[in-house]
Amino acid sequence: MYKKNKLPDHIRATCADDHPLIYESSSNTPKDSKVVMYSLNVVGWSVWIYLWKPFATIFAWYIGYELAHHHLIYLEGFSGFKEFVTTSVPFGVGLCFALVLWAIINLFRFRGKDRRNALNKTTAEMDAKWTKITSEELENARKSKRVVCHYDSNGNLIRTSAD
Amino acid sequence: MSWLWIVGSVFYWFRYERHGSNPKQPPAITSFPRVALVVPCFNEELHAEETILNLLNHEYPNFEVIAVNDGSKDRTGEILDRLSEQHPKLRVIHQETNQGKAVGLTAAALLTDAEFILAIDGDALLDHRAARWMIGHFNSPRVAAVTGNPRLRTRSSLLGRIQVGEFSSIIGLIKRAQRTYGRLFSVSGVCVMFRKAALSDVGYWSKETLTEDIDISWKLQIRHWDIRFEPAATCWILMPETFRGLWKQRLRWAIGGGQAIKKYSWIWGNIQKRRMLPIFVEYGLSVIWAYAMMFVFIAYGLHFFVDLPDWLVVREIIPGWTGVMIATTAMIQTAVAMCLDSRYDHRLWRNYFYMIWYPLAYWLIGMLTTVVAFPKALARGRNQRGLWVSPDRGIRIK
Repeated sequence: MYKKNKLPDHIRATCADDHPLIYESSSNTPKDSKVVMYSLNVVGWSVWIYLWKPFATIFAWYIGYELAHHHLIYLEGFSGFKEFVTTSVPFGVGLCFALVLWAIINLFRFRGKDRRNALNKTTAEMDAKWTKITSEELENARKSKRVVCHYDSNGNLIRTSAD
Repeated sequence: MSWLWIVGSVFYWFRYERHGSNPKQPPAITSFPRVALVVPCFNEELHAEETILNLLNHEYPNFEVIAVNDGSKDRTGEILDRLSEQHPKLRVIHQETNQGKAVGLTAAALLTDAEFILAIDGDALLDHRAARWMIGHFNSPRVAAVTGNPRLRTRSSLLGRIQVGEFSSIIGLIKRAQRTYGRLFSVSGVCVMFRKAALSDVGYWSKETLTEDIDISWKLQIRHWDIRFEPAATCWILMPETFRGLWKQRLRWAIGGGQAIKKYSWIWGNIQKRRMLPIFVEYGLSVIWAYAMMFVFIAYGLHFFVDLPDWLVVREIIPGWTGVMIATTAMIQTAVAMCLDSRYDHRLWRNYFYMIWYPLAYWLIGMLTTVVAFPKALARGRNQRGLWVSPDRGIRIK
């Protein structure tokens, strides 16, 4: 679908059907043509910027040097950074070292050890202890496809009913 | 802390993740114990069907899906009943009244004979191989839970794109670093698999907490169970993309964190629970940071109107070198996290450039929610039930 151009008043022309006067939708262009078009654009601008590079870099260097000199030397900004590095960095490095050392020690200390006996699967009798229903009622509820659970005011399961 | 998380995550990557969690090489497993895929739903009429149908396509030979309708006021119950008639693997539990996620999860766990429970949220899309990725960890009898890797679906707005980076650089990175240490502050409740016997050992989920995932993590680890992280077990989630929704969600998280700190402060008197102390301290430091930042802002504002003593005066709010280092560290942290997480996500890096706003936006939100939440957590009654309504689910094309 083409979008009709909104043209200024001084351009008057009648087009056939519903076509716009100017076709400029990129969706009309085949993909390979678009690739060539954008690539050529990039190359062209790159060459242009490259030709201007000496002037651009002189300007950028001047700004950068002035800014750095003002903040780091004139305003003694470097002293703040130096203070940060000498006070905070050793503390941070120490913490990180401690963490990695701790992890490595535990890796070797507990290698091949489970440190816990396996627990058996829970049974309906065990699970029913966390509710106020019997294990039989719990077993029946487990077999139902739809169950309604009823609770007391403390959130304890007191009854189930198959839906 | 940031550098600690970065170093811990890099260690985790090289030790566990690089070869063990390659998404292109799912683990070869030989036994398939029964897994219950549990999804608690409260007023999820817009998402329940999509979530359930996705679960039913899970690539694991021995599972059932249990949907818990937690006293929904909308058509959730009706939708779940219809789906259960169409799909033999789906069972539905209706809770007569809204009881909260913790009670819903407990009911599902008690009403299944499955050995493992994989719990997700009612609007989340679980990766089809998540159970395969997680089940292997349970070969160690010490493992009680494996937390997955939540990834964001809602990335349309600036808030959404920043959250993409946040989930990698905060949630993902911190979990890796905490695993390197050996204890986690919390599983991601939106995607976590539990060993049912471990849940029974600790009395299942607590009804009074606003964040049942934080509480169950502490309950398990205090009983010396292990919790692991599996980054390849992804789960695609919806997050709020409005300030109001974000505020509600983060406030609930902060209250839940405060509740955990209050409930488990007794570990300071018990030498056997000493391994949880660094996790406690880490969270405590974040609370102290929040109040310190709030104090700085207040002092800065006051100095325009009131003569304050010299030691209280804050003349400059725009940070100098310290701010530069903190902001740079935040961007480095995000870059490291995205490097680690990029193989589990899609076009993750295009969100990196929005993370420049993270320190300003999300640290402010984090600070404010912590300052507001901590007193609420301390004042909250011990038996007050943990009930809440989910915030907005982000901007999506209909």
